[in-house]
Amino acid sequence: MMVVPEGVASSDFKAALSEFRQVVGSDWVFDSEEDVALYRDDYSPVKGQPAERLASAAVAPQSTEEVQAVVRIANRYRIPLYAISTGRNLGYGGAAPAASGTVVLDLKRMNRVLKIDEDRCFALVEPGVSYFDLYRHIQERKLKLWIDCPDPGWGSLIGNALDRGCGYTMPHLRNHWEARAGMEVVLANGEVLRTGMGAMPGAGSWQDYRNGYGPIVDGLFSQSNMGIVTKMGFWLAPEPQGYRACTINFSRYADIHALIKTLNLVENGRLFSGMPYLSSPLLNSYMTPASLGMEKMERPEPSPTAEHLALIAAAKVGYSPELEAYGLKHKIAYWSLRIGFYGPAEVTAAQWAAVKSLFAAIPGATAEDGIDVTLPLTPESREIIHEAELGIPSLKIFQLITRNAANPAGSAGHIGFSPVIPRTGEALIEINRVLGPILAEMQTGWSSGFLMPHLYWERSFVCIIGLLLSEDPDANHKTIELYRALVTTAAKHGWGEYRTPVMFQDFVAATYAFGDGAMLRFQETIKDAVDPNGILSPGRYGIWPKAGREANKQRALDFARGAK
Amino acid sequence: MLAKTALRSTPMTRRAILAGGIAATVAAGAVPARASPPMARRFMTPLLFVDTSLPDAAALAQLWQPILGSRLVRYSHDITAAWYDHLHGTPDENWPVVAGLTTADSAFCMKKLAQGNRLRVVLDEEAGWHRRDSAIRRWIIDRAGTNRPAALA
Repeated sequence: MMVVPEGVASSDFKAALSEFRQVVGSDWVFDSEEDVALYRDDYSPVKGQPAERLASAAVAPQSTEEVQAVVRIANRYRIPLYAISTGRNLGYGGAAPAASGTVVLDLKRMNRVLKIDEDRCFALVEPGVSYFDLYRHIQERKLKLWIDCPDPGWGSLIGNALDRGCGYTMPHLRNHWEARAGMEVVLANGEVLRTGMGAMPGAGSWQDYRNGYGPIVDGLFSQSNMGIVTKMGFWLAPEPQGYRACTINFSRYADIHALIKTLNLVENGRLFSGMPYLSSPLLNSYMTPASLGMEKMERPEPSPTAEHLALIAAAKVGYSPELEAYGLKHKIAYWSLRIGFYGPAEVTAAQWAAVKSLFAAIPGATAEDGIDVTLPLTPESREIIHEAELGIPSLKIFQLITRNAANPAGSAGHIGFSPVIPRTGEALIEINRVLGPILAEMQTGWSSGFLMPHLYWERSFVCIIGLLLSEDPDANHKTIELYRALVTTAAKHGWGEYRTPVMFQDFVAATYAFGDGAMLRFQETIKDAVDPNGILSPGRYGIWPKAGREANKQRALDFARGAK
Repeated sequence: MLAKTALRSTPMTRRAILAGGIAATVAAGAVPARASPPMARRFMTPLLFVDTSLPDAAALAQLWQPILGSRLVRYSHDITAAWYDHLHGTPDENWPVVAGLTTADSAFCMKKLAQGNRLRVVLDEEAGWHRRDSAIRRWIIDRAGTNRPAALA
């Protein structure tokens, strides 16, 4: 049975699909149940249940001009469109729309690398270009350029950046949104807008200087539904001469404060250029690529003894004098900081020496040299490194979530809980004190005695946990309840989500409540102005079209807050 | 076979409807012989992916190498390069039947990559464990059937 968008007459829907076919060709409009099923969220926690968001159809244009034509038709018939790039936003909604009945605008066919400049280190791509595509494009042309990619690397550069995803190399590049360099956007009225220097006809600096003139509007199209991005520039890196990763270990719980202060000093002072990883070996909470199986370890991390595990279990907010004494006796670090350096060996050696000397002010801190490779990589060195830290996309991350010895049940996906906290030792201890009791109920596959932060983004800590899902609806319901509890409790302490699955976006938007919800009201004002018919991705990030707004918001919030 | 270098939109897979009865498994030795369908899909020699780190797969590769020749894709655990070297960018009409005996994570990746190209997973079942480390899966991906969906009523 055909699903039609809410409020759209069946006859109008059929007419719109027919007109879409005239624009993109009948091969590229999909309305069979089997074809539309490909746009379900693989990781939906409510798969097969009434709350699952389902598309009504999909249309796959090949060019900006076709996108414009589709948008104009959608406007005429009031057909909602939900744009996806490669549709692999796993854990955050995938290819499924925010509102059931929406037509998915599948941009995968727009898969050209439009421009790449080795001297100025940028690329201009379409939405369907994946990290693998761009990496291969560069390799086949033997360009001395690096991309920054997430794990896994099969997603879209544009899609990932617009959702503010991240990678593993240098700080200005692994923050994928901050690596943007000019955008082309199709607006709800079918017009095409170019941001930054792209607004100047004939500007050759579109991917060089991204501010342009006047208010910077790029952010309106990130984690949003104000327009459809059809081209985006990205800054790349010149291939460095070498890479080294080193570790500094700290023996006492209280060292966390000085550790983070010094980390902030050296990172903000640009004394290192790689991705930092903060772990606690003594609390058995590892964040390093090696601990995740993404990098070959020189020596395996020892499995905790029964005595060690008992001490961890008895610790309060990750501490007890007995646990600390155990660590000192058995030379197990309380905290461990792994940092990376890119560049010529003489430069990275000097940087490492400088960093070591600053951390040496913390009593008991010890430094270890780690991986040290020259570039380009040899086959042997490629075997040992975490490929994403050297700009090489891979799919090896899926070893973690499919059935394996550590995860014998496998998983049917995950929901990402990812609060942002201040980058201080106090904040890290506080989030553990507050959320620890709630986290103790987590599924064991991803549980940890102490929540450690991810340092993808400079100047902030984001504590990302994947709450595992299964094929059991009852188990998933408990996971959803856990997620709600975590988000609600975190928000009370000012720890907001950086990104969230589609079905919880209203819920999270409501937590950004300063000024009695001034942010969302402002976003809705802009939405009403640029998309008066509300056809672009209704509900995405909690922004609904004017018609039916309050009812839609309430319905979404009721679900997210636990109403049946 | 290298992936396409000129990334002009390579034809993404056309719509297909999964015909019933596509159950013959290459892994079991039955290479499906198909009559030319109405939409003129050429018969393609099946492509078999084998993860040579798995002993059963290595044995399978030895069995099929003389028959499939270059249509046997050997790789060791990471299926990424195998996909991009042999399948990515394949024109719609040239998609072969693809089968594999791989670890679960590789199977998951293949299924997602295949679905992104509008292929159909016609077989996906567990086939034991490898060294108690990884679940193994056998799978087949095809575009069986080329009938267009009926026009909207």
